[in-house]
Amino acid sequence: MIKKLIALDVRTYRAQLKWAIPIYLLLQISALVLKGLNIPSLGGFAHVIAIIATVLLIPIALLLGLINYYRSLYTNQAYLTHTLPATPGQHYLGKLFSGFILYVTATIATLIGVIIAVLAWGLADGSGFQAVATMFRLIGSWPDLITITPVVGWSFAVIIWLLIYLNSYAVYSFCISLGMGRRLSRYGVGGPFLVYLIYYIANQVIGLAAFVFIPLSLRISYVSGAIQSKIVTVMPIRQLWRVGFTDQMNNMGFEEGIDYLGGHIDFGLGIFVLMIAFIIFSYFFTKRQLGRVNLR
Amino acid sequence: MTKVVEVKGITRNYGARRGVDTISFSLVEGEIVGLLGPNGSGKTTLIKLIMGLLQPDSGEITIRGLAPMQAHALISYLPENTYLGDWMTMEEAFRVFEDFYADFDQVKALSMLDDFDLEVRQPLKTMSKGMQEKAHLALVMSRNVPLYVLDEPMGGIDPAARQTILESILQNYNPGSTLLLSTHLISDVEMLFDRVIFLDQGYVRLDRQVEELRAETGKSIDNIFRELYAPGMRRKA
Repeated sequence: MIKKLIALDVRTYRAQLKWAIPIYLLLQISALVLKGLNIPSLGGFAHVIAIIATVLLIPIALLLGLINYYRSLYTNQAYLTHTLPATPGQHYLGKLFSGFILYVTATIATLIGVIIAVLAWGLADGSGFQAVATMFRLIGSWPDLITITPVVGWSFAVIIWLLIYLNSYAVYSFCISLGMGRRLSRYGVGGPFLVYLIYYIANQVIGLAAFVFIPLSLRISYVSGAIQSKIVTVMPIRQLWRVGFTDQMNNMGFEEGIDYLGGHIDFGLGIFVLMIAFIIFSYFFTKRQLGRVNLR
Repeated sequence: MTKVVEVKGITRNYGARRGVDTISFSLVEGEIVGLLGPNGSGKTTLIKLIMGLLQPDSGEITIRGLAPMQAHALISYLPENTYLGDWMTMEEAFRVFEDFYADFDQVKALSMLDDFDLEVRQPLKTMSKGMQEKAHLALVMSRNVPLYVLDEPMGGIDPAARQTILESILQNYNPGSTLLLSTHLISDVEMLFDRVIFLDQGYVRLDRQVEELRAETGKSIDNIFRELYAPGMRRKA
């Protein structure tokens, strides 16, 4: 059943993006040709437009997921969705996975957009594909900069990338489902906005507390001229307290600053713990809400 | 007769406004039941409760012993509003129904579209409201299920086309199934009904077999409706 629900959503996305994909491709090709051929003004303009389109792809994919979630579960289309022989959990997971397919597609298109942007730049300054090779080398070497193995570094990057999607889905599914629930549905789309506003304020307060008080930190040390990093189970509050609000590290260099803090800096990771907790909570809460739908 | 739907003391309010109040009845196999009443009498609320699209304040509804949310495979439902994405063609809609409902009969659906003079490749967004309603009806009536629930199936359809629609419902409806049809266009459809349930301000005003009612009063259902809901005759809210 989940596969069928995903297929239905994917067909919906395909219909919605019927024009967006050719336009995006056209923008990228124009940038490559016009910038690559060094056409004055027009080349730079096309390049900038293509870069803006690339930067906007992932936010647009997330927004489209949100719109589809709302439309298929709380507008006229909901009369079809909620009468399909699927359980609330299947609806939740179907939307999660179909949105993820869109997110993966947008990520791939973003990467292609970045490669094209760099290639256009390379062609313009004569370095050609060398510019792309340099970009890949730089990207590939980022774990070395903080002295971690590539496996750990890339795993961390993938986890962050996954968390961005999971957290976005958890937030909008939670806000829409609660905002369109029995008590708030009378406000129409104002219901989800109200829930989001409350969520946002609560998230800032709890997030700050989690950042400072949860005993999980990324420790950055400076040993023999090299930056090292590891995850430790200590609270960053003590260091924050020492630095205080007077910004005592302002006039210190990096090395001096680290010495002042005791040889390392701890960045709180409590916010990630909170994020994962919210994703789990949102799954159970939203599933329950979907099982008690109220289409007025 | 086997009970297909059982509604026990169902109540649902919208804030201070009453939707339906302590309604109880059951529908048995093979019945065609008219759910009648003026606007705001609770017809759509009751149907949404049966479909699990609204949650009751109290009471219980079962469809063949299952809660509404678990019984969707057993019901073919036509809501008041059109519910397919406007990007869809009928071909795409057939695909959706085929994917989700094992009982969907595409041959029957195609034949109904033909009766309604609709094109299978025509996008829904290019259809008029009446054409969209016909298209939805073709989909819903092409399933083979124990219960059909049609909420105002002819609301946006011109009088000339209503006869075609009615014939189509009768031809495509499985005689062993139960049909619950809500409408306020009574004179057009009353010959279909075995039984009528009149709602007023969220209550059941009258629940009778049509033949008995006609024999007792010597009047058509449409006339009975007009008398029941005449000014001064309506139940106080």
